Amino acid sequence: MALVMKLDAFLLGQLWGQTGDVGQQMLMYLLGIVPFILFFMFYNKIQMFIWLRDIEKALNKLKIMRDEARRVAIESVKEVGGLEEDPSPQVDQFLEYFFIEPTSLDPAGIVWKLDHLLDVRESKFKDHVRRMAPKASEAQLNNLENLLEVALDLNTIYRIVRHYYLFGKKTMSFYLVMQLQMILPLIMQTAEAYVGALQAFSLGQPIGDGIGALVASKLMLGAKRRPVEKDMVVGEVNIEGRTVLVTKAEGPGGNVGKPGDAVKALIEENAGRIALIIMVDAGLKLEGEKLGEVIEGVGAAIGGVGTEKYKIEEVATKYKIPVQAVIIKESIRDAISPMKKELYDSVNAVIDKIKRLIVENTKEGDTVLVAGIGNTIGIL
Amino acid sequence: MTSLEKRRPSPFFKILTYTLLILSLWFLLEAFVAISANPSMITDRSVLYLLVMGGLGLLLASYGLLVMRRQPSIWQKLAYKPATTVVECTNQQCGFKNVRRFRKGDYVFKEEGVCPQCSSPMMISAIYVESEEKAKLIKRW
Repeated sequence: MALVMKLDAFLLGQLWGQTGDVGQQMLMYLLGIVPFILFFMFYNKIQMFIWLRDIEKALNKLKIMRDEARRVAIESVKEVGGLEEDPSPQVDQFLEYFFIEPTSLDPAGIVWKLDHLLDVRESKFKDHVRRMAPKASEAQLNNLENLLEVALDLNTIYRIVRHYYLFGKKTMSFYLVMQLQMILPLIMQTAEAYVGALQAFSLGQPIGDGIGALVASKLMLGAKRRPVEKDMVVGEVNIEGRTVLVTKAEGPGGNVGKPGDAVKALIEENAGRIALIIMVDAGLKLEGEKLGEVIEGVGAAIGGVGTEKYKIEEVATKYKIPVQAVIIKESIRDAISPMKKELYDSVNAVIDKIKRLIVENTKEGDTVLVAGIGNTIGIL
Repeated sequence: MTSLEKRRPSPFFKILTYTLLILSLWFLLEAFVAISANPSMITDRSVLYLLVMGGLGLLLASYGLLVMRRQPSIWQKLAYKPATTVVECTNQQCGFKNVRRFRKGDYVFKEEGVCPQCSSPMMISAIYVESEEKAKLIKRW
């Protein structure tokens, strides 16, 4: 109450003065209307300011993510590399690596050009990582390469967002800033997915994308494995009287291999006498769908730039082999983050589905090819 | 100190937010006491002033608290989630299972020691993390 009384005396004396003056009423009216006029005049500027602030906040987060990815990469290189010197300059050089896609002006043969350039890129990456970490094992080299690629991708995202932010701010282009602000949630989701991958690649844990490789590995458990094509292995098992060739990338290092080449080589080894190809891969889960749900369909289930998919489709068409797919639903974030329990729990359901597909679509004595697609990090 | 730690809310910001919160609550309490004593005071300029200032202050303080709460989310996203390794006996009839924390160097289908029950080889059968809502995040930095 004391405060109310003191305030009352203060307000009466200082703030309001004498009431009833026409000039003062006009002033009050103007004070009320001016903000509205100003708001309509500067609406675009105010909106721009709000959007730019949103982008700036996101950019700060992206910078933190980029810096942490770089730090984790440097720490990992130091840990397994065995070099005395500081690897930071070499890591920084890696973070600026770029890849120029082949021209599509004449699209004929572009798949092979792209495949060749990707091979060159991969071997270049591996050489670079080997120079940074000469004492690392093959599996550790693969994990380091994956980790550095995550850091590179986060660096690229940060640089691009920063470019459009600064360019939008400099030109005060309403539409440029608006577009960037509108796709910001998607950009942040992708960046956060990459952050999830840091843990898996620095510690060598299986990632969600590796579910196809995990299923293949479980299917060929106990069978003798042999290498087939680059970074791929194959094992032969018997399921209900059918010979099943199971192929996956060679683990346990971070590796996706070349499933297209492996499928082609195995089909040609068997002179095209493959009754069915079953592909197992992680598939995109839409919002509202359940993580780890197993569904089946037709077609080559494989992501990436499309070169491996092209090879599988080519060879399957040539020998008229049906291609079926089993998909395990997961989001992009789940795919490159450490594997969640729900995904691991779906492995037996996938194997049951594969067995059912084999029994329903082939007869005893047939040969079936099962390809487990995905990064085999943390999985033998 | 990492770059992330530098970005945490400053002590000044925290003091300012809490001071604002206390002042706003005090203003609102004063107004409430005045109205309780005499309901006609609700139209009094001073009481209205206290209500408006208290309300605005409370809004600002809430925003400050929200910022302080929201700040660690980036840390949570960067924090490592605890992973579990399941080591199982390869003898189907035995069924011995050991569930432990993930160790660097673990991988699925890696042979690891012998079963304490039947002396058959043990094998890592699974490595996974619990869903984020279930998992307790590990603070790394």
